Amino acid sequence: MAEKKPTGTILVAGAGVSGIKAAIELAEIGYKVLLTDASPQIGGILAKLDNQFPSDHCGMCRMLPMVGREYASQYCMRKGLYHENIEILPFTQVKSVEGDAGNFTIELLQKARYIDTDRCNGLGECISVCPVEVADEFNHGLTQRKAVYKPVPHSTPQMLLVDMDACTRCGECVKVCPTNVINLDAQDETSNRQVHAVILASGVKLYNLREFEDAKSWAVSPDVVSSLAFERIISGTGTFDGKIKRPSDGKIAKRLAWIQCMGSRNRRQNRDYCSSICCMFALKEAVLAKEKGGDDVETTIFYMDMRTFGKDFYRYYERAVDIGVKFVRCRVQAVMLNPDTSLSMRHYDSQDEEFIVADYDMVVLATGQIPYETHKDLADLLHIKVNAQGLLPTETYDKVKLTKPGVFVCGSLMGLTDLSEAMSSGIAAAGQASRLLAGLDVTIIEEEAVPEPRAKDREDPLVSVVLCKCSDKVEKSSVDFGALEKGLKKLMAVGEVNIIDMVCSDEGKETVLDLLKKSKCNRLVIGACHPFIYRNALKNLAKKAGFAASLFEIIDLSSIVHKGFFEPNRSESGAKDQTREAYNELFAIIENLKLKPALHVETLPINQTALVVGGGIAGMHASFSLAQRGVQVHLVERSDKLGGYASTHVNHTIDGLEPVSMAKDLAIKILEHKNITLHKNCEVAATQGSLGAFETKIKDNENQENIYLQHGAAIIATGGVEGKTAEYEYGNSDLILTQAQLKTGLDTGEIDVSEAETIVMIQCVGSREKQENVKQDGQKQGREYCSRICCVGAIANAMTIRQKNPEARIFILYRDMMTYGFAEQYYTQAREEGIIFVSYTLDTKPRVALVDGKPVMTFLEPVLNSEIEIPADFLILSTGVDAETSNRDIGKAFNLPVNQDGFFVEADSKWRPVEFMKVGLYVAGTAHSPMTLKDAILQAEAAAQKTYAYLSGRKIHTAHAISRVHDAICVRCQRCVDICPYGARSYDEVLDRIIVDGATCQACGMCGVACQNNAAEIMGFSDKQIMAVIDAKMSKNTIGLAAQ
Amino acid sequence: MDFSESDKDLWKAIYNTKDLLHCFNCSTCLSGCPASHGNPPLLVRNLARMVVYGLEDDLLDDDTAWACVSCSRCEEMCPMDVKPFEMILSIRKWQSANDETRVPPSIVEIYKRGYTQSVGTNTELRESLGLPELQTITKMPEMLKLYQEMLMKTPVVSENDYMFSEE
Repeated sequence: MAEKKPTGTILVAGAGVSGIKAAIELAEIGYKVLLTDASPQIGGILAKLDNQFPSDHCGMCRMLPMVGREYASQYCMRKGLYHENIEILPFTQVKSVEGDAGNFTIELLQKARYIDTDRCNGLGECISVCPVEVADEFNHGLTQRKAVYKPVPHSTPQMLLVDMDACTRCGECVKVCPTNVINLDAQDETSNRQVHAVILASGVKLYNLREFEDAKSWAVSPDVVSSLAFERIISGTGTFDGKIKRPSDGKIAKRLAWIQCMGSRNRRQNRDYCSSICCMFALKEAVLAKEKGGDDVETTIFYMDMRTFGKDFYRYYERAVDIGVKFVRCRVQAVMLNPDTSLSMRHYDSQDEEFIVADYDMVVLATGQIPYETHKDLADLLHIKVNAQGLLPTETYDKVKLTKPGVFVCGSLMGLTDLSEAMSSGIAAAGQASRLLAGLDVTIIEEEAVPEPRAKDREDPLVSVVLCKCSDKVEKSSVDFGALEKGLKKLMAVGEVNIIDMVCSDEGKETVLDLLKKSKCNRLVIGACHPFIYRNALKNLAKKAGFAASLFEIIDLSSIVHKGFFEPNRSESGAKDQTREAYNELFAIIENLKLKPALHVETLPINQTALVVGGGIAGMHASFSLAQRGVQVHLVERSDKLGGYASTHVNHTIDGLEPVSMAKDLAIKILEHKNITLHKNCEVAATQGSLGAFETKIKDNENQENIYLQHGAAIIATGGVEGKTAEYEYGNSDLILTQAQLKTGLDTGEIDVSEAETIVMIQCVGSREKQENVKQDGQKQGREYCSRICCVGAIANAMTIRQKNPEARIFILYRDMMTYGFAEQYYTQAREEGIIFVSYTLDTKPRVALVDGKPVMTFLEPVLNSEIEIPADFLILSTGVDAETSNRDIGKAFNLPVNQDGFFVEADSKWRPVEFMKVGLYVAGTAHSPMTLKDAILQAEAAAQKTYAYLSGRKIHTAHAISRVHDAICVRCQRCVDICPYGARSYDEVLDRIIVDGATCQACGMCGVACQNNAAEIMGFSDKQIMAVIDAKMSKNTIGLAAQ
Repeated sequence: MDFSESDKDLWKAIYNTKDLLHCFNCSTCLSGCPASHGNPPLLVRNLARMVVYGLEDDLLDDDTAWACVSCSRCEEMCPMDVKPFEMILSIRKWQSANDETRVPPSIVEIYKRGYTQSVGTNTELRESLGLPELQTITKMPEMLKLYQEMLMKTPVVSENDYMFSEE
């Protein structure tokens, strides 16, 4: 017999959102994941954030997989994460790492929690008796907690722990604990584990204003809070139930101010980088404050540059302006405490040339991301080096691949990411790890093979009820299990009632399995605790015993049982009430099950071929990544050569990369790869089908023929083009050029700057302003967004000019320098090189006059508030990035949404950046929005990983609950097709029917709402069932119990 | 603003360190500067800008650098480590070196009342905080006289005594 191959195992160090994302991606393929976090909880910074822009809601659950969702325990992500292939290890540090890629031995140190969380019921008796009170970190010290506490109050199960630094070891908690799980003498534990790859995701913390000396100048009162603390204040579950109150006196705050760049963009503190997230963070908080606090709330943001660089960020900024958020361009030196405890700040208004002092009720400091000191230790273990700021950005094209093979990085550890990039990088890191593991001799965790369940629609419903006694607690509880059993047995539909001890234990499971195998029932209810954790294990148990998964329910009985136990007033009538409550819960479930039809899971085959549209850097990278893992790829490119924009225009970047030569190398690899079929001179014409079975027609423009391609998934990577302009006399002089023209000219030597005295560059030409303001070729068009690459691009060109001509005066006229993240250093270097940056606003745009063919510039110097007139030898315009014009046609072909700017609309701008709502279709690179080369490659890797995860599964399962169509009463009005957010419904012209794609449908119920004929139904949620449950819940007549 | 006369290398003559070039006009230096309350106000950021642009004539005419009270707050708070206070001192030196007859008006102020800035304000705030009334030299005529006699012994005052004569 062959030796058993090891299961592919990956360590993900850091359980913030990027780490969680990477873990889920790998677990979905079937790899085993160890997910550690140094803190006692998971979720990182996001655990504290209730609202994320642009929706201003929480969307964390959107990280969860969309297909085969019944195979993952889907749940609210803010409460916790459950996946059978993920072993979650909070409060655990990586102590050592030995070995190489594919064979690491890691030593983990799990710190003692002093509470056995597996057996803790989470009801917190211990908390109520603990005499120690300390500031609660979760609410940023705005509230108190005990020495025994829940680090994340809303987590489920509630992961309590004892804070030994605060604990007085009085032992009260031990005495009162009903489950006897507190051990104050518990020790830290070390263990050794074997893993094949390591993903580092240990993230960042936010600058703590009470930790640093300089912050004392601002943090003069408890009413000066950090942005994350403000998030807790404004949270509905936070300190003040969502009311904006001052921490000092609890009074409602109406005048609020934000100060940006706290702890970042600070050369003196060795943090010469932009934290990347705070501008949007503050914008969102200011908008929320107005929405939650009322119209009379005044919000002011003190800023240096509003860095609204991401997709749709600028429109969010415009919205903030529209609802009255004020913006002041000034970094204030101090917050002053007034005698009446209000706060005041003084700033200088350059335009009116006067100082303004204004009072505020509360000041929020937009605290930046800063690294943990422990990153260095972690890097030392792996023999890699953190950068000067203590983070791990790579120096290559690949943002997630570190210099040590087999070790990958994602999230803010790789360089101060926002949420969307945290997601892309998490997926990309998982992708790189899976690329490594695909080449190793390892297996994946296969789904357990289980017999076909006995689901007989025609049989009369007969329910088996299993109730868990949950160790000895039942005896102490007021719930009368005897009466419950008797009562339930009287129901016609109940075939049997079994009371078992500890269903969660292995013995308990064996007993249940034996009982169920003998059972004649066809439906099953299990009453136990923590349904979210045990659901899958119990569901498999039920399947093994021959119960259809759709005819199985598990309910949370423990909260009722425990309530009975702790209820101080354990009178006889009270006990009856609790028994009745438990009975009613079970009765309602049984009523539902009685009427529920057996639902069948369909298994659909998957065509293991991918289609990639666009042969630019992103498209090539995605193709190669997939091909390396054995996936067949069709790469469709419209032009006659691979490489796209970067390969022809960008010889070298400011960070020392050479895209042109990289693209050439990659193109050769693509051409030589046996798994990739290249279709040059081809365009996508039409496509049909769904995940696993698409068919796409492409038009070969060279040979004038149509080609039909079968594929299981597709990646759209169409790229973008340099923006056009007619502003600033462009086109009327040879001395007025775009940045791209300048770059090419400098590279080829066709543009000679050595004699130039003055060179002026203008940023945001036609960008970031209302489209109607910008005229191009007589047509109203422009870019109401930031193109993200122009600021660094302009700096790169200016530095090149500086090298060629050290004496030239170079002006860069900008609105906001978008040098986010570590790009801030280039901005600093440029100033150091004497390049002069002058800001302008939409009201003070620079002017150009052509005098003897030479541009003469007039612009306002905002600091000195005076106009400068200067003849320029060259005027260079940053015209931004436009969407590829073919996006709309491709969008139509794939039935994918394209936004008003012509870029593709992803499923969720934060949580699902590379996916479309329509399952099986992905987006990467500038097709998504303007982005840097490295970001495009990151997205390409992420899109390839998403594609691979499905295609490697060979087959997909539809969910039990999906919608269907009552064809006879459907009038084909197609309202359901229009409203379906997942694109799961379509109208088949040949069959003249509405078709539901079972793999794509998420059973959200929108079609049911839209349908005027009741022809759209969600299986397993019929009106009859719902009414029966409502009746049961409302019923006072608890038949069985009343008879006792 | 006349830019044609500007000297792009002026910063090297005044404050020959790249620290100054790091300035990104964030306004930290001026928003809490005590001398910014003066008339005309000292606007440190604007002086830095004038140096960077090389506006030689404007800078020679500008006396605000002499209003600095050396509190060093700008130095402590500047995120770009421009060391604005050092720059202020450098501007003073450069101005004096370029104009030997220069008598900074702030010396006249000091001679007249002992301070460059009015320090008698904020009486209400002092009172609300329970602080005693500030004892300034202007409230002690005899001390002021002694102080003026002392100043008269410095060359810059004695050589330009016409500027310091009693009204």
